Amino acid sequence: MATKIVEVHPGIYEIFLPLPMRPTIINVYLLDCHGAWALVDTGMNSPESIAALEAAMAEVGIKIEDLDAIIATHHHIDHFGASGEIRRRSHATTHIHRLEAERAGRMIEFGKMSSHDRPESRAFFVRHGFPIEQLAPTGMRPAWMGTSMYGPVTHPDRFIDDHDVIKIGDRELEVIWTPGHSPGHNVIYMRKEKVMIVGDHLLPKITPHVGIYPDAAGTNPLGDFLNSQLKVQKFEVELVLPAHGGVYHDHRHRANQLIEHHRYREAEMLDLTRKAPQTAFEVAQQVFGGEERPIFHVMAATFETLAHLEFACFGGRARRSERGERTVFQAL
Amino acid sequence: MVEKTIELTGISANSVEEAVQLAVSRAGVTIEGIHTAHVEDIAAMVEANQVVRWRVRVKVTFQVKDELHE
Repeated sequence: MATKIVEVHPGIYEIFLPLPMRPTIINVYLLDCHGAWALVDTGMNSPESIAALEAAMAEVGIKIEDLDAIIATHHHIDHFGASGEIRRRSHATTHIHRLEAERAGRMIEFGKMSSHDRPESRAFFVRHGFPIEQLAPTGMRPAWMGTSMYGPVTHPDRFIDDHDVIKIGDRELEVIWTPGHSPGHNVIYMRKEKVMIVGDHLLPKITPHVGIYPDAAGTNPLGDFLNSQLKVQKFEVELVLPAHGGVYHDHRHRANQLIEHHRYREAEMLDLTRKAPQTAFEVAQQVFGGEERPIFHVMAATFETLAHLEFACFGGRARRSERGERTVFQAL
Repeated sequence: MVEKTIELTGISANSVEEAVQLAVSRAGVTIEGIHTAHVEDIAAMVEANQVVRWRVRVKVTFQVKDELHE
């Protein structure tokens, strides 16, 4: 197996770990704290990913057992899925935001259930026009759900939050809370080095998914996401380390692109609702395409559309109303 | 000074103006300094004798900025 590790800044190593889905690679970051080692994000708990991590760490002369700290940007499988296994082997102090630890626990519980066990979720799908009765429930679940590939730490050693500074060896890792992609997402800022590990918040090529799911009804994650884009621009950064895609330099430029992208998307969606109110599903079919697509993608498109429509309602640019048992949205 | 022009088609369910704005907004995500959108063609898409969408072909022009390698 080709070892995939690159020193992107003195003592900061980017490690490429395989994923069995798109995007096909996650970048995790190994930090030499001079006397201690920290890992930001873990990859998923697959034999291939663990082997790749071991091989990469061997390149700098250490083992998983040598890790002193694990820090998660958020709870998703590609970021935190192997944290349980890595902590078991290393006894590393594990850090994650409280909201993310709760969600990791909930994902484990959902993995044990079928969609029939969660009537409130089904009602949420129906309310937003998603034809859940016509679709196979198995297609709604990612393949890894309920398997050992998602093995997160659900009771971390330390909850992290905005402004926290994690001191490990000679490094100071500042926690910047960036809700949006997930509610407890954090980026890790190294002020002295002017390096920011951005998780999924500031991907260089793809736009991070922001959606409203059944457990987050009534929230405004897109508003949070855009505020988080403004927030990170206050920091001086020379090197941006994303979880997917290549490292880059100008985080402000990319943050502004993401803001403009969502402004355009909202305009596109509201245009479709100007003549007649529509459900999130109906708008999503037109914006993201109604052709044959995996159910999981249709679901993500619907709930990303919902996030835009709710954001527009919060801003007074749209209103929601009821059409039978459905919630519909119309531009103002 | 050199300018660059690209051709886009904006599609709106609402109006010609919104179709132009959508095309410009999308271009603006990745292009800076757009100063002109020249409308080249307008078509109304019809279903059941009703205009359901406006398709507007525009040429969007922006100034080319060269980046110096330091």
